[in-house]
Amino acid sequence: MITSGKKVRFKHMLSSLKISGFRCFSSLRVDNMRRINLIVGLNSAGKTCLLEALELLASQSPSPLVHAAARRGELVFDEFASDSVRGTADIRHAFYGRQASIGTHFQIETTGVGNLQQVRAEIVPPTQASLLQNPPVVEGPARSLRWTAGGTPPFDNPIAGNGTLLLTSLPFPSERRPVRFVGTGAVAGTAAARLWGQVAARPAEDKVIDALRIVEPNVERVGAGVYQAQAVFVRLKEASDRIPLGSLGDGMNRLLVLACQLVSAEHGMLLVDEIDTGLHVSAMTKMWRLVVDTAKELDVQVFATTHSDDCLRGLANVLLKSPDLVPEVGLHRVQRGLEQTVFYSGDEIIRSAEAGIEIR
Amino acid sequence: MASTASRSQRQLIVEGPDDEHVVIHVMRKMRPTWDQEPRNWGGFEVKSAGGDTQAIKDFGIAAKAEAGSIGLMLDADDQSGKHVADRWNQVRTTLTQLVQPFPDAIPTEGWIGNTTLGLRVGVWIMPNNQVDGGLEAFLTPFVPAADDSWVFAQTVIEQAKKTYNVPYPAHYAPKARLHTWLAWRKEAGRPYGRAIKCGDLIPNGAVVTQFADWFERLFITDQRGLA
Repeated sequence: MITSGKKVRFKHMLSSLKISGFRCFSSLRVDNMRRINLIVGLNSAGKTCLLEALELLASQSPSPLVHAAARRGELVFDEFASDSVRGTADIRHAFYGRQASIGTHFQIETTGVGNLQQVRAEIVPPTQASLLQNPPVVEGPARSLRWTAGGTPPFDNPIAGNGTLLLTSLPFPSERRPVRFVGTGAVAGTAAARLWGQVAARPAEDKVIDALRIVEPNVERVGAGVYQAQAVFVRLKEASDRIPLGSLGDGMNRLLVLACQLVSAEHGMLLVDEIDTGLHVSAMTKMWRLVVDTAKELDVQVFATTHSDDCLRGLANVLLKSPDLVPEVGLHRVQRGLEQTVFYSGDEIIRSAEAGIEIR
Repeated sequence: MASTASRSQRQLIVEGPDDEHVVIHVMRKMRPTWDQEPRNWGGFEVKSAGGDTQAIKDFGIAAKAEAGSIGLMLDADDQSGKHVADRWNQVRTTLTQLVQPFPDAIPTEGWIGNTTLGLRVGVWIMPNNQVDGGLEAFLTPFVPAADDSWVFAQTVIEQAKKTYNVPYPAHYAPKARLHTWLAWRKEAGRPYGRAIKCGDLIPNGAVVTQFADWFERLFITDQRGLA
């Protein structure tokens, strides 16, 4: 037998998922995951929790726990936290039932065959090694967050007496895939400029400019520069001077963030909370066209939540025009009290839009 | 504006526009105290799917919803794959993951059940969940009993077949007869729904009473009040 000596090509797409004990999920299964996955459900059904679980699994690292706390406005600023300026996460919120006693754990794993991945977090008593590494400086019961990802050895993170996670020296996962999260909060100024900086002058930059043209067809060039603080600027056709992107409205900033994160997630995963945010109905179909085509081209698996009928209709429009994309798309409804998401195929998304059948 | 309201739908999916208008006008006559606008019967709508196959498919999609009431009304015809038992099997196949246990046969009074997702679902197979005949068999008792031209309409369609070999197929004979009879009313050839509205056809008999009760149980009665 001849073997190429090359590693088998890493299969990036996740096809199913099982979550136990994480945030609002005692147990949840998600099957039939496609390249493009829309997540719907009532308020507080757990749409964002599902995105966070995917982020933890795909990144293999516990640091998204802190990123999630930041997005949710749950950051705890604590004198004992490792970085008291940035704050850290109250680890209890990550567990179902909001308790973090010894033995409490959550687990997020793929199911089925091939490409098996798993992450697990468990509250454990501090080991001798972790006590040496991080001597207890806080009062309260001594605990650690034991993080196990795939085949790597467990890593213990100390937890402060008030339940906050002390992310001192994070393990660096061996196999990292890019995972990008677009939250609901506005990203502008320096943060937007930093995102643009990641793609500027790269081939993917054209896709970002195309995205901005969905709302403003006259965009010719994009650049980052200093305008009091750092900002992203655009030059419009026949305009005499550059103008700040933010002055063109929220939709433009949102598209910049979405497109930059999408192209930066090549061979990885893009997670978008409320993908319709800031976009008018008329832009919805074009937005989906860009997301679906780019995700396919750059091998990105996309998970996006929405509440909007127009957003579904926009996606249905794209599928109607490109029937080859229908098998690449699925919709999952998270429903409180159900241990499995309800799945709708691409065909069903089209029909529900055509016939006005409620699937959200 | 993006519509973001979370709706619990009350929707009756029917095969075609004739079914749609019959249901609306039958219910207006059978429940005259209800508001005349069907949408005010609780956000209710009758939706024509454009064919029996599509109606069953649409029902399958709608029945996966989280809340509300979804009904399906199908015709049972004397044709292969369209008999009452065939229709019931098609519904069973569509709902197999969602309703357990699933009854072996559709009850005479129409079926109402609950999905594991929390939705109320109902099925009515025209005319009466028992025999073939479709919408026309449901409407036949609406023809005033004293009207002898109803008997004559049967003679006419048979004669037309015999003498001129007109092309209506045998299973459409009831349809041909009813349309022929409607062509002789004061305003010739009203469609079924308008014929009910204007009193050419008068809802009458045990079957339409059962239908209206089924409709009310499915869409109007408080869901918690029923098993």
